[in-house]
Amino acid sequence: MVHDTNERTHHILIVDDEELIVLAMRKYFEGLGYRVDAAHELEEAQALLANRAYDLVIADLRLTGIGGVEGLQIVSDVHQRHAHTRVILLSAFGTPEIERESYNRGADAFLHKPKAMMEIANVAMNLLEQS
Amino acid sequence: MTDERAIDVLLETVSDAVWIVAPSLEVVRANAPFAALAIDMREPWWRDLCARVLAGRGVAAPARIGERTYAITANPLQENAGAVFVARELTETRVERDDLLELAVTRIFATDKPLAATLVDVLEFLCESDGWDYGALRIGSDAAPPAAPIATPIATPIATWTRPDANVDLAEAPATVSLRAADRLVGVLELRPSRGGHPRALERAGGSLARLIERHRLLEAIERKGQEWSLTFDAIELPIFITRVDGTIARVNRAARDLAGAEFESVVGRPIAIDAREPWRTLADVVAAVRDSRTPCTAQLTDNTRTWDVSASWFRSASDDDERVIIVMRDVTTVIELQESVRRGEQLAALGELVAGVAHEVRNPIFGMGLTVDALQSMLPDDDDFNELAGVLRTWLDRLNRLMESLLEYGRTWTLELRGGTLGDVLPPVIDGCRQIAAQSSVAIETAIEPDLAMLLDPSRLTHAFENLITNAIQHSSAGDRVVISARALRDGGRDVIECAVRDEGPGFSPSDLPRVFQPFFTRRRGGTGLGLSIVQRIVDEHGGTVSAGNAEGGGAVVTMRFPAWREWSTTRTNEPTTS
Repeated sequence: MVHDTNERTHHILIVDDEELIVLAMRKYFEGLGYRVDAAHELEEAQALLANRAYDLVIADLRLTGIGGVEGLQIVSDVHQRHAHTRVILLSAFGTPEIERESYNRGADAFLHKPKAMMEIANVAMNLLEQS
Repeated sequence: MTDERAIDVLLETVSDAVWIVAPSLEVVRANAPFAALAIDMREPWWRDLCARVLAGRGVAAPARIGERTYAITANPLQENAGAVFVARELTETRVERDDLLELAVTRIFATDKPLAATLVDVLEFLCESDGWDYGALRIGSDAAPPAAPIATPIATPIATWTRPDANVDLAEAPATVSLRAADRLVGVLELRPSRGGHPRALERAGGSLARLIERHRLLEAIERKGQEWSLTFDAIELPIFITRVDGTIARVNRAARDLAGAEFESVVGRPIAIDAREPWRTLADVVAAVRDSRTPCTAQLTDNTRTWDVSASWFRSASDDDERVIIVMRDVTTVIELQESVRRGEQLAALGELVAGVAHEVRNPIFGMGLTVDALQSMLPDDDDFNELAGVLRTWLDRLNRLMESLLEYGRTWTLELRGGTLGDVLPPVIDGCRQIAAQSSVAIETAIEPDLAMLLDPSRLTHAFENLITNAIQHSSAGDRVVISARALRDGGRDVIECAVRDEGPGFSPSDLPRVFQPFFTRRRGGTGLGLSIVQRIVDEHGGTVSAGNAEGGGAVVTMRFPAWREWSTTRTNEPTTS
């Protein structure tokens, strides 16, 4: 194992409508020693967020059909409820406008797909270290 | 045979009319042809002629008797016994002379002499060819009224002419003839006959002269109008054919002649179905359709290189009541090409949308696969074999991903934001950006870019095209090679263009590949998407330019782009205030 996992007890919420992506990410981050919850749609994510203050949320921008920007809603929700929770948005089609909007709502990072897992993990770890 | 009898025989054998007049003016002897003459003895010219002959002078004069013209010669007999007259029919001779006269007038007019001098020439000819001595001739000015009575002198003669050997008999009444051309008085011809000249003969001469002048002027006017019409007709750039209803070509303009080409030197008089090829086949069909329907008809045809819109209509010629078909052709090749280009563009846009949609949807699975490999690798022991294979998997995913990115790029519908700028603003940052990749491959980048190459451009799009080209050139270069980027202004076909070329020293394009290098997905490079040059072409296209690929003289590939220069911008930019 590449990463040392001893001191990592941060709680991460992964939100993506692609179940297989959630699976890979969950395995990876769990492998790094994080506690991971997952949601596949906006309501499910909102329910989890209402119950728990996560250290980090990694959410896909689009959770439904074409043109969806539910990820922005998640950023707003997180920002309202838990000021210290960090948010990373992932998008395959993010325009500069949407990226700007996500930062306005309080996102900490906006990553364009595809990204290697290690890149996502690096961003995540940096954010968690800062908090 | 007595003398008297011999004279009778002689008189009856000649075809001329011969008769003898006594001093009493009574015809005392005549032959058969004289009887056929039927001279009205009360005519003044006859009395005048007799008076002169009986006074002892020989006279020769033309005379119009009935429908015929005669040359009459008269001589007094000895001892005041009367006079003998001989009349020879001149009608045939007269016709010949008129022809000669007309010929002479035509020739004389052709010399571009002033009217007065021309008239003098004509009259001189008249006198010489006629054998008559008209004596003095005077030609009045335009302003002079028709001089009658005759004695009125003409104030300002535009020309006078006196036959050198004229025996002017002022006692004789001069004849005056008005010369009119196209209802306008062009002059007054004053003729003083001597030695047998007859006023009527002179009038006729003047009349025929005036008619000739008029006809000449009329012909000139018609010719001038005809020339004007031809010039106008020829100035029309559209080929125009005028045919009879049977399809015989009656008239064509220059454009139509050019269309027929050198192959058919003269198309007038030929059937419009000159041969079975286009455009003649369709034109013949069109003429037939118009003839049968008597309504206008349109068609479109394509010959070897061009596409034509043809419109034909029927009309009845006012002058000869004949029916005509007028065919006008319009070259619509460029319009059609534009339409095709727009359609291609629309197709491309639709295709692009589809491709971009697919690429977008494929992206997520690729992302998922990448993440899974990453997750898998993070959970498995750090094994060399496994790591190598995971690397291979990632390489494939990278390649798939690059293809998707290229497809997205190619298919993306752009809103082009063209603005005035220079290549000098766009190129250097791109080149600097490529230097790192070049250095990695030990390839040198050289530039030869003229300053102030102004054009309309979308900086981000153009940057993308140059990135593609320069990266491509570097990828095809070996260590130590150079990639040369040049840009210059030049004139091409009367237009100011900016030519920009990217040249490498690699293996160059295979000649057989050249026609296909801009086709999407055409590549010879392993792992290449084959979209790089297609994207370049698309961007150059957006800038109104052209791009071509070839091989440089010393080897290596060269891709050359040409953009329209934006002169307005560079002019306003470089215009110095003038002091005067």
